[in-house]
Amino acid sequence: MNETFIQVMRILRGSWRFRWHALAVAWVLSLLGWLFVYAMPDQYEARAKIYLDTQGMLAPLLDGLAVDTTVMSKVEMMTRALLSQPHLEKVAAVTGLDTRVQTSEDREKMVQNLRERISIRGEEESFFSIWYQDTDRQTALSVVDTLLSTFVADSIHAHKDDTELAQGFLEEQIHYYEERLTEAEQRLADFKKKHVGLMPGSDGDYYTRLQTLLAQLQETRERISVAKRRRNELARMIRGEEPVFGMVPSGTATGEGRSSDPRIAELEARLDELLLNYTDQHPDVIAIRETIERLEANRPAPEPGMLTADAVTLERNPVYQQMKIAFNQAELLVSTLEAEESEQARAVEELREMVNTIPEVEAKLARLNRDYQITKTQYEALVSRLETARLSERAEETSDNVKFRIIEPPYALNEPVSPNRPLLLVALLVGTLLSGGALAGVMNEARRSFVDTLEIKEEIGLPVLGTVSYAPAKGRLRRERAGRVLFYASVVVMVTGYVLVIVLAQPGSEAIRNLMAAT
Amino acid sequence: MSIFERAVEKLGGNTEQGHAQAGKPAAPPPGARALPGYGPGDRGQWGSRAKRVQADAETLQASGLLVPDRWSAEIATQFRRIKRPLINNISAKGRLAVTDARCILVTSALPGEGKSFVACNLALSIAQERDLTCVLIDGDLLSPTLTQGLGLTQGEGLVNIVESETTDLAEAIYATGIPKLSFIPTGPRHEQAHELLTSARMLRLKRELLDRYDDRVLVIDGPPLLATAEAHALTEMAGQVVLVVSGGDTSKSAVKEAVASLDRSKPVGVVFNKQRYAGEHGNYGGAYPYGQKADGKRG
Repeated sequence: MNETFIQVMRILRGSWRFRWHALAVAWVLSLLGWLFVYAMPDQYEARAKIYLDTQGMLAPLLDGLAVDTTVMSKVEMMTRALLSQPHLEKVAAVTGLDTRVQTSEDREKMVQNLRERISIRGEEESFFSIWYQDTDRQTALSVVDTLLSTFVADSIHAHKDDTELAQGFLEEQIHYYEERLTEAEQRLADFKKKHVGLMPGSDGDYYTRLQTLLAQLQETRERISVAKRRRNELARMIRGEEPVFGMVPSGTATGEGRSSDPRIAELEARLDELLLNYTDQHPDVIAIRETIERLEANRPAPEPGMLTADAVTLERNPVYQQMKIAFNQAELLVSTLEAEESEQARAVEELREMVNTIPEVEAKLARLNRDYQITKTQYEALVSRLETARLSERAEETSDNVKFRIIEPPYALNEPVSPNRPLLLVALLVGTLLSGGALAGVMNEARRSFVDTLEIKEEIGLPVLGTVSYAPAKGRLRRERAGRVLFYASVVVMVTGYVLVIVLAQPGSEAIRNLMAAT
Repeated sequence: MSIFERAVEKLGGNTEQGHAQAGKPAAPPPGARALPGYGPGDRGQWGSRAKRVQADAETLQASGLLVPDRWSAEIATQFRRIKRPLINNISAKGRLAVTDARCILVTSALPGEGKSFVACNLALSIAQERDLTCVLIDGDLLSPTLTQGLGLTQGEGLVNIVESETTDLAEAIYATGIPKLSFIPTGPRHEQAHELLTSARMLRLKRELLDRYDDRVLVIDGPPLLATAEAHALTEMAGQVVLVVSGGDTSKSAVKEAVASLDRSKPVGVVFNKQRYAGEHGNYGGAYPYGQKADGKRG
């Protein structure tokens, strides 16, 4: 027999003496425990789950509370933001919890109590769940619901304020720039009106214009000289200073001179041409010559006495007429050009006189324009930004890139979550049995007796002559047996009691609580 | 009167009847049952001058001094084992010679551990020895269980002998129905029980009893050691001490305290009484029944 076994058996045998004590304790504890477990109030639990971008949403909210958000964990941030004083007071008001308190101290305590009892847990990144337990299911639900909606309202409000602020600022700026733009436009218009003649046309600014004018002048002068030369030449031709074909009196036929008849002259010219290329034998040449002869035959013979060229003849000479016309035309051209020249020279001179003014004006104009442009650009930029802000605001509302979303709306289970009565009762059973056993053990320890001869030998050191069995008289035996039966029956009754109590946990506890409420 | 007694009377022997004094116990009823486990009673052994008390099974069982029949064989075996070392000391088979080894005191630490039971059964067992006779003395003056068990509370006993020099020993010794076993009751209640038991007269009584017959063994049922002061005196008087310890009952500290007060120069043995658990000596093996029962079955 090993030592441990013997020790254990000694303890068990010794403790068995105090089994009735143990049983009594177990019964008392059991009865008390049953009552207690039944009387425990039910707890209902409400919860909600949300997604929250803490940095985006909460940081602005918390900034107003003078908290340093960089060092806080997300859950802490969430807790601070969600369970702020105004929130909790609102919750207390809505759920009717504050009707139970009178003084402000009590209110403080109640709010503090709420703060401790509402639990916020962070799950994965940016997911939070809110939990609350109360003996009344409706209250629990109401608390979580109100808390959530208060928070939502608050944050939307804050967010809206933010965007409104930003957009308001933009709008203000736009307005300002609009005014400035209008002013600039006005200034520009006034300026243009004032210096209407000096405004650069499509031909560019001052210097360009000057260059253009000078070039034109130059061109005009060249054209004048060309025209003059032609006129002079024509003049000379008219005066007979230069030989001109066709001016020879018709009587003088020197060679194959041209006739004064224009048709014949023409034919003669053609003939000359052909003769350049072909010989007399050419059919065309022959044809032309025949034509010429015919024409000459038909022409009235020239009168004698027309050997000298006089003015009338001259006057009736087509060539001369032509030349005269040409000359007149040339004269006209020259004078026209000269007029143009003088006009242009004047313009140049005028422009030259404005050598100081025009550039100044142009510079000023340029400046005004630039100002205008700048103002306009800024204005347009602001307008675009406002548009962008509005767009992104709308996009935020509809897109997936949200900062806040309710994943699971507040709900409360219909069944209470605690207490888990069957479990508690089983634990109670184990506990009472252990307590009873422990009591018996302790009592045994306090009053150890010998349960085997080994002990006697060990502890007293006297020789053991022998053992005498326990041999009770019949009556005694019967009584002892009855006692044992009673003991075991009592244990069985207790366990049965537990089974009953566990089975009737729900209705039983309700009954007890009603009873207690009634008393 | 039994047949034998009548026979003895006819032979002219003095029976107890002849010397009967007033108020003394009557003759044994005829056909009284022999004590189970202790062999047939031999009624021819009545001492002519001794008084008699009938120690029959019913009375003893009723008073708790004898176990019910179902256990009697087992208990008898156990007491045979118990008496062995005691008898060895008497016959000097033990290593050391023991003074007055024939005077055995049975005591315990606290009352109710079964001293009287052990003393009675030990005496019965010793009386079975071929070579010994036994005188059982009830020395527990304040709680005379043995005397009460045998119905001799009115008779003269130890107190009478010790108190008065003149009282004859024969007045206080009773023959039981068991051969070789006599009994001395406590006698009437006495306020100075302690002084009586510690007196020199007590010692002289012991001497007288021991020296008369050298095969006589005294078994004294003493008072509890912790409850009385005279128990200690008796332990000094006795040659061997048997300490009865009740299993699962008496606290260890009490027993140890009692043991501490004992004179260890004389042999002290422990009898572990009221052992409830099976197995040899209550230890953690099985029992070892042995032998054949009367009907021939083993077990």
